[in-house]
Amino acid sequence: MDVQISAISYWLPEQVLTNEEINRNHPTWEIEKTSIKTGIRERRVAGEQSTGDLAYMAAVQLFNEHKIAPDLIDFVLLCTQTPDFFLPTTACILQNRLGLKKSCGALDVGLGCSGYVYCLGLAKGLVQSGSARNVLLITADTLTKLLHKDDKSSIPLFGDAATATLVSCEQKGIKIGNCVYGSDGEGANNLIVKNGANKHKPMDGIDIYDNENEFVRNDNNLYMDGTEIFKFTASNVPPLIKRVLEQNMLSRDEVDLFVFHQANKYMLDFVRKKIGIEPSKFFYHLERSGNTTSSTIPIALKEAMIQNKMTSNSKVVLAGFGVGYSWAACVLGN
Amino acid sequence: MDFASFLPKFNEQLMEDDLSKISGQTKFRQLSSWDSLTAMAVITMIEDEYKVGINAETFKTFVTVEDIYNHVSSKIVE
Repeated sequence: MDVQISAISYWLPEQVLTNEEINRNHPTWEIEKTSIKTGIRERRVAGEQSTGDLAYMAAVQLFNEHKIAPDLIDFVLLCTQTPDFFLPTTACILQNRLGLKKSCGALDVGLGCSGYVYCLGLAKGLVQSGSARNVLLITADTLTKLLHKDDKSSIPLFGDAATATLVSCEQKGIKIGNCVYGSDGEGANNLIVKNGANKHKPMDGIDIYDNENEFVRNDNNLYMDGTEIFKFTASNVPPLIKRVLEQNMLSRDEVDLFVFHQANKYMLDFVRKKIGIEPSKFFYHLERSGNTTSSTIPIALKEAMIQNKMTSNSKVVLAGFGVGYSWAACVLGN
Repeated sequence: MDFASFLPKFNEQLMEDDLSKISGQTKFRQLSSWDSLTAMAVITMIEDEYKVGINAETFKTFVTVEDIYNHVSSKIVE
């Protein structure tokens, strides 16, 4: 049975963090210079809103924009690493808040940048196995709440967002092809929020600065070793793309568009060149929302559709990679 | 391997407006677009193109573009 993505919507919180504002708070960061490299000029900040709030807004946006009755949904997957509570699962709360039927399955998936592709694969499996006809796949994170105000390596990059995708047995939309996955927990410490969960419960992290008085880390906040993440991406994404093309019996030339996790422009350019993808077939969407972890791919897909860069007849390769380490890719197209 | 073929590959990792000014004597850390990401891109390019691995500590000892080139070419000869 073919399984399709039949609709995508997204929702960004209203509060905007501009380069100008970052520059006011941190004049030494040379944010304009950084922006040329990252491709990011604005990020959205959830502020008082929680992940569940953002997820709710994205789902409502999907229902309204595509005239989808909430009753149609028989499974909700929420991809997030910033849930509202340790327990219960935020997806259960969303079932109630969105007015979905009680026979609806609901679960959270705790993945970051690879999460959307993983969840497409899971949703497809649920539909193919007959467990669900229509899966509501939501990605939502409020990562900005975990950033340290002096962290030059994360503040300019990350933003908050939520997206909602309808994965359905209905034969309209764009078909989800074969997915491939990967993980390597050896890289766990290179992108991590160490304190606050059950292993290191006390929030007793202290601010650590280097010899030049530059902020390094606080274990209560998100820590990212940019160099290691770059190395991971440069060495793992090219073989990931090779593998997903083989699994879908496609050559690189047959692909109309590549939509990768929008980490930052410089790193995307680097892997694009390394794989040998021409710029016209590679989609970028970073400037106005930044790196929104598992939401970057569905936001980019939606924008690619709006800009007529892809249609239901296009062959599109998706690839997500990052925290875990975790990575996944799939092909969309009929 | 010669410097004339190495330089364009090095330059490709930069986001400089004027690449014509870059030579073997250029102190690359003083370039306006240089940062840790650029260093990583250069190290990865060298691994891909020349099969020479450079760790971050060794890379820190290089001052000019020629220092990088000399290190890579000496490793290839070995």
